[in-house]
Amino acid sequence: MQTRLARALGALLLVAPTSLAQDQDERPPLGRHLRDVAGVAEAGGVALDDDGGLWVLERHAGRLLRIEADGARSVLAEGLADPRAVEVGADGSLWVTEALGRGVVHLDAEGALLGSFGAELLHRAHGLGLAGERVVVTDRGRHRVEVFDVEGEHLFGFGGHGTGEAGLIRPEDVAVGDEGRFFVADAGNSRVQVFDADGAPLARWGDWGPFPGLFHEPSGVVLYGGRLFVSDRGNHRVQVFSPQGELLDRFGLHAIRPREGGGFLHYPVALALSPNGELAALSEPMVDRVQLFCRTGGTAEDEVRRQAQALARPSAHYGWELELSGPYLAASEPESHSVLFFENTGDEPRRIARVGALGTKTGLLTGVGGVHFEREARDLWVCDPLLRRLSLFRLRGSEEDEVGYDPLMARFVKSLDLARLFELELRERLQDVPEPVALDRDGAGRFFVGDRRNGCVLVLSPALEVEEVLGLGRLVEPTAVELSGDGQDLFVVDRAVGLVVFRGEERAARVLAATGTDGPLVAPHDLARAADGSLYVTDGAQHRVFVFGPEGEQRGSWGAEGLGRGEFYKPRGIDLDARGRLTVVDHANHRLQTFDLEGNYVGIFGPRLYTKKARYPDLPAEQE
Amino acid sequence: MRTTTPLPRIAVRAAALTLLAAAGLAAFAVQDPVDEELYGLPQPSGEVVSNDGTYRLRFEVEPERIPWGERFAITVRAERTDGAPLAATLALDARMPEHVHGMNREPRVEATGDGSWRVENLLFHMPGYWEVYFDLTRGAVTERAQFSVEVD
Repeated sequence: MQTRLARALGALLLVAPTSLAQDQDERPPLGRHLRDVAGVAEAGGVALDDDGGLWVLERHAGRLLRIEADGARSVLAEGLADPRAVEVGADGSLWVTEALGRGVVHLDAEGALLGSFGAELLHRAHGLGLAGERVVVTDRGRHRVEVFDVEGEHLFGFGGHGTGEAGLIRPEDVAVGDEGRFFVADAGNSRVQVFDADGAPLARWGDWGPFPGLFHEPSGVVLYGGRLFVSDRGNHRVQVFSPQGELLDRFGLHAIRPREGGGFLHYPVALALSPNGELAALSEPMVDRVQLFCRTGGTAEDEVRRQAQALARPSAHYGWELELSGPYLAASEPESHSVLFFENTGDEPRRIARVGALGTKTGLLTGVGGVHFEREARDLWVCDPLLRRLSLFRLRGSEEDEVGYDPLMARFVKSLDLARLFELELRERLQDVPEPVALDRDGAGRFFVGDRRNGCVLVLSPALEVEEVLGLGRLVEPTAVELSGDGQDLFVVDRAVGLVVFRGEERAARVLAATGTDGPLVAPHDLARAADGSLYVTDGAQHRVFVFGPEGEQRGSWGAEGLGRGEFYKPRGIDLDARGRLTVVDHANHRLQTFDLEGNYVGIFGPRLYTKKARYPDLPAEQE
Repeated sequence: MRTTTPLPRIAVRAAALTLLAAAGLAAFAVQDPVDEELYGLPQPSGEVVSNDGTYRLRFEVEPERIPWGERFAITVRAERTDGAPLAATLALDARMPEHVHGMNREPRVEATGDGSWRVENLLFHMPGYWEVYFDLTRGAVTERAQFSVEVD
């Protein structure tokens, strides 16, 4: 029996062909799942040939892979510094962006280096578009699009941080149209913006939301056959538009089961179409995979049934950040751009509040970086790296109150606008407006703010005035900061450098555990510090928690890729609770896990489908 | 109109029902000692201290009872609680936090001198619990003062 939902979806699907009348491409739309290409670690940029052969980047490993249609793999290039996008030129040469390295890298078809450019200008090179003699790059760090010729001469650029016309926030990709127009995936603003060949703004469409035509951080754009294909990362789908912004089609649905695939998507990022337009590839770094789609041959009813089934399934996510303090637990939730607040004294955390909501006005959040809770004052500080603010929320009531969920528990108190602070106090000391991603406070109430844009830690007075800038030249992209109890040691996790300590009055910097070939870490994210000085560091690439002593000596580690107890998939936030237990955000498994300080499993918390194996470790494989 | 501190939804509804049943006029609620004890009511003077204690604001709403679906205006005067010069700018916003949305109008804020402003083009397009925000910015820091109202 056809449900009302199925009929509604069917109507949506049937609308699409009539909207395509003006399109030159008469073929059936793309969207039927062809195959999964698994085992591509932190899959980034992707390109595709007519036979289904892939070029794909492994971000953490710094490699460019060639994967043939029959699955045969070869490494074309190694040693790339956080590569983000790959494009194939008309001559068969390869263009790659590096977020932490040379900017734009030009390779021949076999992967040999031909040249590089843009490192001086670009801060976090990301998306890439080729158009004749032009190479167009999005810079997520400077929130701009830069245009070069193929020799590397900078021609012009446009954009800059902003939410209005021509403003961009973390643009992730660009496609170039026939008239030289630029179509930009304006991820932080959840919209597509169109600029003319000179970089003047022409049009924009979309906003944050789950409904058709809206976006949740669009991250890839491809123009093909008069259509703009947009990978809509946070909505786990691809949407297809006319160049004027009319929604024509969409495909892909949110994966629920771990590593589900088979046409179900989980945070798709990069998007590519084959030259003949018969195939599309989507990378999913969260699940280390690329999925290939071909043109549909099935009936609309098949698609309706599939979509209706998927929409009926539950979904819940926990983001990267975590804070434990006293009886409370705070975890970011990427879907709603807010912080979920839990009472954490029982067997499982019990949600009592939601802090913040999506928006750009005062008191709202667009990105959620680090969170810091102060128990006595019941103050929750939230870093918003996209709006470049620190926002303070205060929870009413007291720990003694018997509180259920209260939608009005959190009240916005005040915020620090780092763009304004940059103009007033920091212009001479920093390159650009700080983007806060981590925060801790010392006993005197001073703020220590990790700044991913400038690669430093800002030290602010209790009155939020600048006192000091730490780590310039030593840090690249801090993701966590934590002070020792006496405030003498400032520990910083930097995803490119590793675990760093700034020690004593002089704040002398020392790397305690490095990344890459110099140390045990690959992609560290957060740390927790125990009373005995042990430092617990999550590593998303190795699916492990590492334990270091205060001088950096490695004391152990635990974890492996998987779904079982004590196994992780891309762990992120970590913190200690009042009972002396560690809680870890097992991000890509959509759950929190708790351990004692020896790494012994204590408990788990999260959506049912993701925890079944952990709750019932003897479950037969066919029931997982 | 009656002004309140933020309340749980169930408490707001219970308060509204109680008041309507008792008096038929919500405006009487500010005089009710039971309500004051239970819900922190009232704020009949139209004076609020900002959420971190830096500013004190006195405000007047025109008309006195905020109508549902009709424009209204607010005049506000601010001072620092420590007696220092104000040197701040004002923005005003309003939201329905339980519904996660704000107004569908953009308020017009006009400084009238001496730490005072008049805000026009305000309209609450839905009945229910609203919060009105006065955001005062000095340097790089913005601090909020607020009051709440049940519009019916």
